[in-house]
This record gives sequence, C-alpha cells and structure tokens, in this order.
Amino acid sequence: MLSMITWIPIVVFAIIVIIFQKGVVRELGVVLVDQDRSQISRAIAFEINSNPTLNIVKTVNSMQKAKELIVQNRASAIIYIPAHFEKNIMIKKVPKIDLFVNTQFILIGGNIESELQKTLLPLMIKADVMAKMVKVKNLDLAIAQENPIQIQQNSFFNSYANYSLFLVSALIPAIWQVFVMISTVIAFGSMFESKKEYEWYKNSNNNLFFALLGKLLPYTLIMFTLGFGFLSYFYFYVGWGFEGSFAFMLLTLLVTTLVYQAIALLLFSITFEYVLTLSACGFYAAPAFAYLGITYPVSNMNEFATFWHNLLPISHYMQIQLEQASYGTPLINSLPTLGVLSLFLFAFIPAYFKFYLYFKKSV
Amino acid sequence: MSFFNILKTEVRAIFKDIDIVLTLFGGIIIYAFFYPQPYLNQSVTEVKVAIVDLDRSKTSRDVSYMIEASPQTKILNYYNSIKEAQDAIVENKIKGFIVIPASFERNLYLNKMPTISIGGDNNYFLLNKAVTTSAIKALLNTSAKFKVMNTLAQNASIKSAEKNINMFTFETHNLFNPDESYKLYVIPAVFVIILQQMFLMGTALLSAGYAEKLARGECIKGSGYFLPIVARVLLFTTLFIVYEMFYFGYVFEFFNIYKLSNIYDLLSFGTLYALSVVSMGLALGAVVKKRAYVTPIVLITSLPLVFSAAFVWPLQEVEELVLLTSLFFPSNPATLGFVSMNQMGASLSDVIVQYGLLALQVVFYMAIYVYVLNKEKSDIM
Repeated sequence: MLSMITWIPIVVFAIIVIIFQKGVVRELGVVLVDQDRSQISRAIAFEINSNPTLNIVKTVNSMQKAKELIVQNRASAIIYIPAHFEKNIMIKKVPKIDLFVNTQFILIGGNIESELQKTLLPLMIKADVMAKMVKVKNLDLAIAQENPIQIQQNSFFNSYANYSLFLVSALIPAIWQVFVMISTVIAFGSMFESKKEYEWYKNSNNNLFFALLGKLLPYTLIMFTLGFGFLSYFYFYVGWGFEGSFAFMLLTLLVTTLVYQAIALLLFSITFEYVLTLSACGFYAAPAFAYLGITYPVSNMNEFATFWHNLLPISHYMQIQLEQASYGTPLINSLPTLGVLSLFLFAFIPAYFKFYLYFKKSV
Repeated sequence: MSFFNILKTEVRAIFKDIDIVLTLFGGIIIYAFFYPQPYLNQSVTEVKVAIVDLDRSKTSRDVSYMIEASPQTKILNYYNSIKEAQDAIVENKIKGFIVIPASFERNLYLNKMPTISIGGDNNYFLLNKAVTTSAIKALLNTSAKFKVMNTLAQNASIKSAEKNINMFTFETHNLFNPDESYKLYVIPAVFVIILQQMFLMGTALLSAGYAEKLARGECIKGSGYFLPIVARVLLFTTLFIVYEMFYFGYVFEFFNIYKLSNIYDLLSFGTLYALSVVSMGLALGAVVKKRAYVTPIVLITSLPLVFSAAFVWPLQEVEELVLLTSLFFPSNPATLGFVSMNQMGASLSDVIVQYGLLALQVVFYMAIYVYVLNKEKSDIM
C-alpha cells in the first residue's frame, strides 16, 4: 500500500497533465452542405479551412447526410449554404447561411461556434470588398475599414496560457485531497484489520495523543510534499507565475492536508471498519470537483449545492489558490478563507474522543 | 450443486457483504440525486459586470443600456478607471467589465474606429462567455446603427442603407441541447461513469472477497468455477440493467432530462455495457485479491475517466498513450454511445464502433477472470 502515497499519485497527476497537454483545440470537424457550388461558396469553404481550429471533414448534398455525421460524432457543426447564394448576393437580396452547432458538448460546441463566427463575420461585408476577396483571398485590411467598432478581448487575470491549463490546476488538487483521505484511512485501517492497534497504543506508553501524532505525521509530510510538488510544477516549472504570497499558499496547503486527515480520522472512528470508511471517504471526496465551482460557477448553484460546496475544504483551498496565484489578492482578504478552512480541524476532537473510548473500553 | 442453489448462494454472498450492499443499494441511488445538484439551475444568467465609461456620451450610455437589457449580464456598478474595475474583480464583486474609451462617440462620427475592451476573468469559462456574448451583441447593434447612419449621410434611403450593411447574413442554430444547459451536458455523461464506478466497486469487492476466503481456505469444496461465474455475471448484469433503467428512465425524468433513443437499441447497448463493466470488476477483484485495494483504485480513476471520456475535451487532442489506456475502460466508449443515443437520437448503427469495443472488453476481461481462477484451480464459492 506504500505505492498509494508514492508513485501512484504522481502517475495519476501526470495522466491529467497529459490529457490536457496539447492545450489548444485544433481541427474541429465541420460538414459543409453546399447547395450553391459557386465561386463564393468555395471561397467561404477556403476561409473556414484556413482557420486552424476548423476543418471541413466532408462536403455533402443534403442536411440529412450532414446530420448523420454529427450523430456519429464525426463532425461538430454543419454549414449550410443555400442554392442561388451567389446569384442573390449579386442582385442584393442578402441570402442567409445557416450554421448548426452540436451544443450537446458545450465546451467543444462553444469553441466551434465562436470560431465559425470569427471566420464568417469578416466575410459578411459589402459586395465591393467581397469582389476583392474572390481575387485576393485575404481581406484583413478591407475589414478594418468596414467595421466601425473594433472589439478587443482582454483577459486581465489569466496567468494560464489557456483554459485547459486552468482546468489542470484545479483537477490535480481535487484528486490530491482524495489521496490525503485514502492514505490516512489506509494507515489506520490496515493496522486495525491486522489487529495490531493495541500494540501500537502500548508502544506509545498508552498516550493516545502521541500515538495519533506519530501515526499521522509521516503522512502529513508526504501529502504536503506532493502538494508542494504540484504547486511548484504549475507556477515555477511550467511558469504560470504566482502573483501573491507563495508562503501563504504553502500554509494553506498544510492546513488543508491536516483538515483532510482530521475528517478521514473522524470517519474512521465512527465504525473502525476499514473498507466501509474507504467508501465513506469516497462519497465525500470523489464528487468534490463538481461542487468546486470551477467548470460551473458557484453563484449559479442552488442552495443545497452551495451548502455542500462550503462543506468541502477543497473549495476554500481552491479559492485561496485562485486568489493568490492569479489575482495576487492582499493576504488580509484571503485570511478569512483560511480561517474557515481551519475550522475543519475541529474534526480531530470527536475523532480523538472516539479513539479514547475505543481503547478505554478494552483496557 | 444445482445451478439454482449456486444462484441462491451468490445472492446470499452479495447481501451478507455490507460494503457491497451499501455501494449497490445505497450509494448508487443517493448519487443519482446528489451528483446533479450543482447543475440544476439551467443556464448562466445575470452575470455581474461593471462598465468603465470613459466617454460619457449618449452613444456610450446606449451601449450600457443594451448590456443591462441583455439576459446574460447585469450591471452592478460604473467605474471611472480600469484599475477600479480590476480591483472589483479581485474582490469578487464583479465577473467582468466593459471599457468604453474616451472620444468613443466622436471617433464613430469621424469614422475613426474606436476600440472597446472587454475585461474578464478567463478562469471562468462560462461566465466569461456570457459577458463577451452580451457585450458583442450590444456593440454589433451600435456598429450597425452607425453603418446605416454613414450610408444615410451619403443621401441614400433607409431601406437601401439597411441592405447595404451586409451582403449576406448568417444565423446560428443549436442542434442538440438547444438551451446550452450545463445540466443536459454533464449529467447524461457522468451518469454513465457513475454506474461503472459503482459496479466496479461492487463486483470487485465480491471477487476479491472470494480470493480472501480462498487464501484462508474457507471455500466450499467441489463447486467448480464455471457455474458460479455464470451465476455471478447473470446476477450483477441483471441488477446493472435495472439501474440503467432507473438512471436513464426515472432519474432523467425526475430532473427533466429528455431522451431521444430507441428503447431496443438502448437496451441492447446497455446490456453489453453491463456485461463489460461486470466482467472488468470481477477480473479486477480476482487480480488484486484484497478487498481494501478495490475502493482506492476506483476512487482515483474517477476524475481521469471523466476527463478522458471525450465529452469535455476533443479526443483527437489527447496523447495516444492515454487514449490507448482509456480504451480499456468500458465507460469511455459507453459515454459517447449513451450520450449520442439518449441526447442526439443516434441509432445502434451510429454507435457501432463503441458497441464493438464494449464486446471486445467483455471477451478480454472474461478471459482474464477465467484465467486467474483456472490458474489457481480453485473452487470459487
């Protein structure tokens, strides 16, 4: 079971990093339904294929065939260019292109939608520019003169190069807390299962406090070191940059480690059953990511979900990580969150009491 | 021992194990209602934003009104400098802001293209998208208005001026999940993974439990292993199918999640998924041989499985080694298969690749299970 606290967490963290490694999404599949087959419709197809995020996987004749490709997940969007498209442009009848985006997969759908719009908006300009485009196939300059307002999207707090890296920085702590709990339960569970708990108790001169401390501390150190490892990896090795106080971050990490050990110990002390406690920890810690408010904002959650969000120490840890790493929030503003996090340390008290009763009863 | 007796013994073994009962009759039911909670409030609306209006003109106020009127955003405050707006984001008061530069209106009249900045917190994908959509809509409107005005200035009629704005238009339609609901995005996919993880735990606990019994020499002599395997697979697979009906039937309806699939196709796909998960779980328990190993393995694979299941991140972007590993988990083809069938109305023939992969997994894991039991020449009950 030593592997559970050494190489397994590192392998799992590495898998998460590898999943999102490429970061930028490229070549999302698009089907083109071209009913016009004109010079302009081909020019539009050319512009779409020039966008590195998009890739026309197939040109088909009917919407039905296009939808089949969507349902089979071979493409994520359909571009429908109607018949007489070019002709209507010439006689100034303003024809319409329809885009159908598979929004079942929101993240991919959102990406493809904005890229398609970015590609088509510049094409949407007046006929004289369009005529030029058919000749030169590059019209950045012309567009600039045609669009009265320019929109610039600034991200003021993006120390991460892109969204996927940001996900990684939240996913790894969410998995790490599961390891903290599991390692604590394994430490005590395996000892109780092999009936060595009295030996352990006697070895510390029947002093429960020192016995618990001695058992927990090595795991505290290992789990803290793992956390220190991924934080250093994010902010120094990959170089996302750390805006706030790294020392305060480490303090938060230490408190979080202790807090999860306390909760795991408390859950174990309810039944002193090894496998049962593992399941209980799983129930508490495994779905934490959904409640974290990273992919879906907390401000939009219902009351129960907000309540459960607050009951998970990793939520408070994550808030501090965001504040300190991305925003550089003054410590005085992050301190109350650390205070809330520390409240979970009180879980040690009932756990201690249960252990005390366990050994008192049998002596 | 007759098959019926073996079946009875297996049922007893399942119900005698408190950990299996809690997983397959407790946790699995609670999860169905617990997991969807964060996502029940449909789409993201009324994101709090601020306007940094450095122009203070009629046009800049018009832009603000349009941003306020949009369902996605709600203006919480007006600031005089970008710094103040940035501080408000740090203090978590607002989630984004729009900067209207000085001389905005004047430059528009002079045909001098002003630049509007949208400041957001890229850390929150959904919130940022709401702010951007709302702001771009407002600006496109203003932009169109000025195009018409500029054309009108050249003595054209309003009608021809409007036509002059664009040579063609385009309209975006959402094919499936039209409201872009996060609930309809996450729940149908994650349910598939929850079912797998719960049954992996239940089945692996059982087969690891038998391995522990065998090690202690407590197994019934002469039971063989063929019939007990059949009984075990039959019981767990049936229970799995019952839970598929519960999850994709009752719970979907409870949370108002629509379903487009054909029931026979769904049942056929679901049966193969059940078989593959049950075989994997039984093989897993037989290989690890200790009950205490089962839960940690299932727990730490959960999040990586969710994020390699293609619905969050396009699979072609994932490193080949991880992609290959993910092929060994039934939830990977099954997530895409179930979501395509339930949410997008795919038929079995549309997901035939996923179906085939599940079949291969059944063969692979059954072979491992039988091989391990056979090697030990053991009676397994």
